[in-house]
Amino acid sequence: MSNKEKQEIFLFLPRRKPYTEWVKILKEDFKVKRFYKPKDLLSSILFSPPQAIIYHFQLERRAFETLLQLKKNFNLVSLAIILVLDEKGLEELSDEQILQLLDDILFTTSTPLEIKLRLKICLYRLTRISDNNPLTGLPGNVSIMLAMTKALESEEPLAVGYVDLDNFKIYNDLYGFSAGDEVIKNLARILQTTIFEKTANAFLGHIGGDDFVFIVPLSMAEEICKDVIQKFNILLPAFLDEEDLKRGYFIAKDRQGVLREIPLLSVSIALVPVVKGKFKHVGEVSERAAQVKSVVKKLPGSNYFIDRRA
Amino acid sequence: MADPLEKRKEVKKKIRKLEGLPTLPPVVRKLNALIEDERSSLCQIAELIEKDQVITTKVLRLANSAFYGFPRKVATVQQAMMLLGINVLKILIITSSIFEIISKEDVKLWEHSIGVAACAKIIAEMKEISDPQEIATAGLLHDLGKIIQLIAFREDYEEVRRRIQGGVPLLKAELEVFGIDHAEMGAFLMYQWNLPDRLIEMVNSHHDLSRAKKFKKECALLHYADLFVQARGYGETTYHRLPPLDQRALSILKLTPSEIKEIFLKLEPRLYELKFFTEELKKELD
Amino acid sequence: MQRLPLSYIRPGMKTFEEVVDAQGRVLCGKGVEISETMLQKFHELGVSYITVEGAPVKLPWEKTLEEELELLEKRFSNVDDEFLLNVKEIIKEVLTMKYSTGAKNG
Repeated sequence: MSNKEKQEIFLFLPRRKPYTEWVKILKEDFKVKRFYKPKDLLSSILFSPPQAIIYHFQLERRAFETLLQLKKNFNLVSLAIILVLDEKGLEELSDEQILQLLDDILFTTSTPLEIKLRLKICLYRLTRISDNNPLTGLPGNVSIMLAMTKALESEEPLAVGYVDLDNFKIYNDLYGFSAGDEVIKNLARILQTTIFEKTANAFLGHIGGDDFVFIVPLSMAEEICKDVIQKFNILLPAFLDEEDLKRGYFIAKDRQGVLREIPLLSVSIALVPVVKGKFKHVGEVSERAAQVKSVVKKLPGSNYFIDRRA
Repeated sequence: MADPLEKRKEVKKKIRKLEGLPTLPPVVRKLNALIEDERSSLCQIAELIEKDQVITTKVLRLANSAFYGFPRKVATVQQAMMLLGINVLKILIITSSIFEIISKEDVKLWEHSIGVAACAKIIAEMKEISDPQEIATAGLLHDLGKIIQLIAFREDYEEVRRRIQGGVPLLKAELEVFGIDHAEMGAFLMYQWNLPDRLIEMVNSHHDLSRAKKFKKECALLHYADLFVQARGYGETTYHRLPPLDQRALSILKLTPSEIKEIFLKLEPRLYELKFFTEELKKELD
Repeated sequence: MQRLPLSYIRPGMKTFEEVVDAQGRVLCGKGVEISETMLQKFHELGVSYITVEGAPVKLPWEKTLEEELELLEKRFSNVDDEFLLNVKEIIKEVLTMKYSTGAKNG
């Protein structure tokens, strides 16, 4: 395998045996980069992330926590984080949050061959289980169904939000699919940061295309919608070219083939409050959302609308 | 003396490998404090970042990176922050390196850049050039090349300074020693880091408008802004000598004497306010 | 009058102009003596600068008009370009205006 085809692994391990032996065998099949300073490790992950990180649990705990946070924040489902521990480390590893983000654990007593095989298996496993949207890394339909089913049983009032973009198809036609993909990716980031900065008690999923679903506490729902819309509007000029921006609308052919002025890209969010006993199954929620959506989409610009019916 | 062409290749190679740039310790301290303070708004944080070229570059680099689809379009700190969010920003600050050894002279680099950012914005708003904040960002980043020289080519940087003291003009000295000037160096790094084209072209041509292709007006604007701030004596002026005016600017972007007067009238209070910030930085470096 | 960042303001100083917050809303009129509580409030509301009466703070980096003009001449000592020389005259004008109004706020 040429170096270009090899997957890249970052190692954050002590500078002694047995780890030096591990490095030797890993270099046969992977591009290996060693780090000794947490700053350098984090910086490299931010700007040129690897496929996997093998991290020694006994080193730099704070940097490890930051690393996990990064993985969570960016939904880096495909970044394998593998922890190396000894007996003592095993006992210390009690935090469920850490376990949720880890991909595997290795032992200081493992042989180099074991390390290599486990790493390979781990990476294969990750590519296999992708319920996650390949573009945004967000949970896909399976997870969304699960989360919504759970939400129907919630004692605490929640809101389910359905997000999509108005005139997205026109944007794709005019600017191309790559540009469209970028807008979606960035919308995903805005949703992610806005929602999870307000509460950890939330869910965000990507149905596909420009459709997203989120579940948040009802008390925060409207504020979140307002924030998302505001951020989207600030960012939007970066994705439009000067003429369209100046004009304030797109010029494109509509479904009848007639040249029309079409409003620029905007966000539409339909909010459906949910609480235990209100809906019997997920389909009912989607139906409500569809009705609310048709109202929101008629409003010019970016908007949200909350369903106030019982 | 090394062959300038060879040196140029060497410099570009080194820039390609650059992992990051350090900044002033007080800036990182202040930013940390601001982020930890729950009362701070995103706006306040953006305002502080917009005073530091290194953190700005870092923020823009991340917003324009693979995580966000390489859009090469995010050109202002405010836009970048909409994407990054506060948690990622915290991580960015944690991974920021600082200058181990920095003198008060070097702080003048920062002073100058903030001044040019302010002046560029004023001119952009007056001449109704689109996206004044983006133009301000270019103003902030225009001398990034000098920071690259400071950290990655310290000895050569000192050699350039020596030649300038001996009477050689700045750009000539840089070409002799590096084979490439600071404008091109900065632009090259920004290109490596996927920053938007408009910013790159402005930085690249701020001394030499023949390098302006798609964004001629903006480039001339930045050229003026740089000159005006140096003329006013705010921040670094390379041993008290003004760089030459590129005559092309006069035909690309006309400025009448009354417009120029208005620019300086608007600039003066801005520079006054910014002075508090840079003086505090100098104090903290003691 | 003197325009100062919030961190330089002390209770007892009197406002020369209205105080506005980051959104441009007027928080306080002119000629008002600033109290500790007001300072706290200003801090919370994101006020950046306040123009106060007199010149209560000595700013070590401030120069006199003579010093500024002298440095200006020095910076332009090697310049013979017409446009730039015009710029010099304009800067001279602006500086003279600034110092003559006794304005200590730029």
